[in-house]
Amino acid sequence: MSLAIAGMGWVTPLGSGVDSVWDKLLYGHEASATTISEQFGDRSYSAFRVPESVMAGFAHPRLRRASVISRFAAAAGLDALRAAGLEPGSHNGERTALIFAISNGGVIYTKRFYSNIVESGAQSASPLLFPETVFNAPASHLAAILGITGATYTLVGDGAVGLAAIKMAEDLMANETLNRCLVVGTEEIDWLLCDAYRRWRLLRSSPPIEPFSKQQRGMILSEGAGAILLAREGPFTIECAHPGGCFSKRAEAGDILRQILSDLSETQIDFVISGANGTFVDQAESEAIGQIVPDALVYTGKPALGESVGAAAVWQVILAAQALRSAELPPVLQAYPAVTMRLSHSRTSMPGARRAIVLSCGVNQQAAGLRLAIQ
Amino acid sequence: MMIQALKEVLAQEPRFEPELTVIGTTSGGMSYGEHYYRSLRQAGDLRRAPTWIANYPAQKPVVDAQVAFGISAPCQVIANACASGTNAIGHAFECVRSGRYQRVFAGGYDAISELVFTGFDSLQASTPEKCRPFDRHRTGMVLGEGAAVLALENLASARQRGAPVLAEIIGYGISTDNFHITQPDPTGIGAQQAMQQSLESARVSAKEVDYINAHGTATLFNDAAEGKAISSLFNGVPVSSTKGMMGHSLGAAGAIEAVICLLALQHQFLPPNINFGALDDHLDLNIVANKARPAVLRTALSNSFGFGGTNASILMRTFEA
Repeated sequence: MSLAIAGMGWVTPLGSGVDSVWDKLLYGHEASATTISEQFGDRSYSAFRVPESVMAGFAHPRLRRASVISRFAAAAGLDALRAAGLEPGSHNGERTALIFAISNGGVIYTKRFYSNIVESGAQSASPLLFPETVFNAPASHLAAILGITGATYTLVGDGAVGLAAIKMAEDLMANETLNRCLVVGTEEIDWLLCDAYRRWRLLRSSPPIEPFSKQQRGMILSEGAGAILLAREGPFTIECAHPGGCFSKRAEAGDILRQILSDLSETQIDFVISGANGTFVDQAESEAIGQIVPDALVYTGKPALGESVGAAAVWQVILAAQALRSAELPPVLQAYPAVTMRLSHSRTSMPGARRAIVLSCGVNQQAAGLRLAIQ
Repeated sequence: MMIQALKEVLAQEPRFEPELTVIGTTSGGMSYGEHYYRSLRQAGDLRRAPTWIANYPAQKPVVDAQVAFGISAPCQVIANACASGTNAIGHAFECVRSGRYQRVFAGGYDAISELVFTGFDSLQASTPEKCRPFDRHRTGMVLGEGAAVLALENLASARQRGAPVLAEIIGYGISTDNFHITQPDPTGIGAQQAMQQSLESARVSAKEVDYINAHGTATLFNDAAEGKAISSLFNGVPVSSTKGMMGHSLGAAGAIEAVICLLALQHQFLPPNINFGALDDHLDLNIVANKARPAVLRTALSNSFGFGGTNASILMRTFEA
């Protein structure tokens, strides 16, 4: 069974709106880094945040106490629905499923809630904050806003979770009673996340992200949301959502990636949207791409947009769709000069490009892929 | 807990090779996150921080358990609050029933953490007293923890392997009631829709259900809404919540309670709703009060409901070869 993409929504550190963000990427823009500090932390970190101006004016009664992760998701979800010509309430809420892909969830409110407990004891725990610490809080807000009354799922995972969500959507849509499935990937930044990824030796202190570099200097975190509305018909077809698998050690990631690429490249592939982010992921992906689809052009958007973890794979799918639509790839920023792949070093035209692979290797043992085609 | 649950299921079915693993949880490795934050905040020893951080993600216990037994199947970790375990089994059931998968591991896990314990306390949803589901004097829930994993397989494939079939899953319902982030719709409409869907999915009537394992957290709001929903669909079916015995294990609860239903079907008994004095005046339910009792059971329904207005029900049936 194949699925179509009927609409997309995008909230990123480079702004919101699919076409607007895409234009910036084509012109080689890189998000501005913000310095994040914490009162009790002895370090500052750089992160690509969604500019305040992007969310200014976006309001909904349901979101008045919600964290930014829910606001990003709602903005992207509404855009995806509207791009398909739908409005909240205009679709059948029982026949639309919602799948959220998240990694760290509402970390800002979780930290605030737990901080009160650590500082002042259990008596100070806030009943208003606690519900927002639950992983499915953003999904429940969006379901309420869109009037979705049927299946709502929140999937938790690493950078590949967005593709797992699309695979789940494919499984759900096997049920003919469903008309659509909205898949939303989202992430919010906090100092605590930056500190955690730094201690995990995956983060660098300041930009740039240098994809495919031998030094693997690390990633810069980012935030935002991506939403794709899956339907029976639409301009893009997800020909195959590959479930991938789990690897026990980083060194084993390449085996799963090779299998994914091998399974997805049965037909001619024009380009690959990689998840390369300046970590061990880059080597695993570049080796697998070099072995299985050496002729495909390769692009990663992470030097420009940052590593948005829970949102990352959905962003990659949006990148693939836009590249197919416009028949060109943006330049890969900060690319290691000696890389041997067919990297999109500059804005690259791809006349007649019809198929792309989205490849995602997460930093916490999950990998997946999909093949996207334009009608 | 995940490793122990997977070990037990693989001991019974060593040749089971899943194509997919679907596991529910609510809080993942929250206690590791707490260690990390406390050490940061109180200038403690952070030498183990990389280990805590690596173990915080919700998928980590699932991946680790798979790795421990040489399984590399893709994992879908569902975090639909307290409905997660039932959602995981229900989704896995749909995956097998659609013919897209032959074998899927499904279940749930959760461990008690300070954040979650304090959170439910801050909502005044938990009680220092006994957990008394559906009782007129109920005062709230008692947290629990644990894990359960079921091996779901297409019947033809199971027969071909000569695998023992413990029971059938025959129906699944899921709904979202959008009423409030922590409270169910007081009319019980969300729960009612999930149960109704599971009946329709199984193509059985409400009269054919012999036992209901209720979500029954013993909070005022849940039991009132769920009780209304049950009595609107079922007439006098025996109902119990087993949370009085095991506590509310959140994302694991649905999986653990599915195992309880399975055991009830296998051994033909009604699990008890302990600590029960008298039924809430506003409810009309046939509670299996305090003691298990033998019964002829063919079909059992298990409910799980969670924050965010998420509702899930599965139907299980004795297997007749």
